[in-house]
Amino acid sequence: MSGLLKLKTAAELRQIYLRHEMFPTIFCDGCGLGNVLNYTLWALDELQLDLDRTVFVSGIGCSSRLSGYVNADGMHTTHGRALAFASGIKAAQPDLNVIVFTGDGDGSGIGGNHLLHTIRRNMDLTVILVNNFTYGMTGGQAAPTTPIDSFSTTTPYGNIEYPLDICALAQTLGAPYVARWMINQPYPPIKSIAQGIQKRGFALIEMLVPCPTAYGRRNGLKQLETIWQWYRDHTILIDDYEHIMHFGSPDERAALHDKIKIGIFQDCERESFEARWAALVEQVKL
Amino acid sequence: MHVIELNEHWCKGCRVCVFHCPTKSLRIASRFTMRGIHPPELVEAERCNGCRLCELLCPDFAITVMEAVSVNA
Repeated sequence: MSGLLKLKTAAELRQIYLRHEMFPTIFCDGCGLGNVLNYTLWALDELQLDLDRTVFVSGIGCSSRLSGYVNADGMHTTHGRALAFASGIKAAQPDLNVIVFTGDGDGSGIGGNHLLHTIRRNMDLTVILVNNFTYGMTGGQAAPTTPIDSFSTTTPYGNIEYPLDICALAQTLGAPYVARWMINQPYPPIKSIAQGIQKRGFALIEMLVPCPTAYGRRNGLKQLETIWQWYRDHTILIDDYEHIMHFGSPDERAALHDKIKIGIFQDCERESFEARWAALVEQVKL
Repeated sequence: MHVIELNEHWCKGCRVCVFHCPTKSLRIASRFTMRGIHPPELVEAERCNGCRLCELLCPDFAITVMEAVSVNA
């Protein structure tokens, strides 16, 4: 990979990668899903991937609209089953690059079981899991990632359930590449998505995306500036977090309890399903 | 000197570019586009340092930052 990003202009990018008849996007004011698509396309551009050999798979939800905007083959599948469809594509055609767009409700709630088992199998997929803390498209119900004490349509008196940390789950299951980013800074997610695509094995990139309409409106974060600033205030880079936990004063450590860690959590090598499958086919061949 | 090119059919006027601009050179225009929204505009071209943050952060692929080249140069 090149050391420095050589960016084209957005005008050139949208000429190559986007389906113009689908635009303008359906996303609300202040939603960051467009940014996720933007960063994914910059990452594709950095790697110079062939769009004819790339498949975009998505489930149901706001985030899953993203695959429709890219000028490549894609599947818009049933709720939560994006990873199951993607596994099928990858198993049938291992030389395709498969990128999955999924949301927190779609990927970790309804399709939580598929997430577990696709990571366990170590399919060579790049999963961009967009976390906006809520089921945005269906009207703001509480998702597995909704923070404790926050309000939603199904938790009008505050959420009493502990949220799921998707990155910690993927790390425990041994996914080769696990990262979480927020969308305020463009360059780390672009680099990270490019690394995830290059990784042989399951790469999970969780993107924290503000949702002012369904989540923010009920939690005092309706204004665009407020919700984007909330993400800036409530995230901390993993290196800084560990540094403060080691050397910080008790007050500094106490200030970290409600912050979300961002950064690359796991980057290791593990033999993927395709490699083991090819070896097995070679071994039992008559 | 830089100029911004705006795709007015795609911009939804969400102001993400305006409040992220590090040099505060963008502002919301008072005119309307065909979609009925107030688009961003470059108010002080000298102050813009061409960091392209608005271009990278635009959720709708609407802004392009370009360097203005003088014809006489």
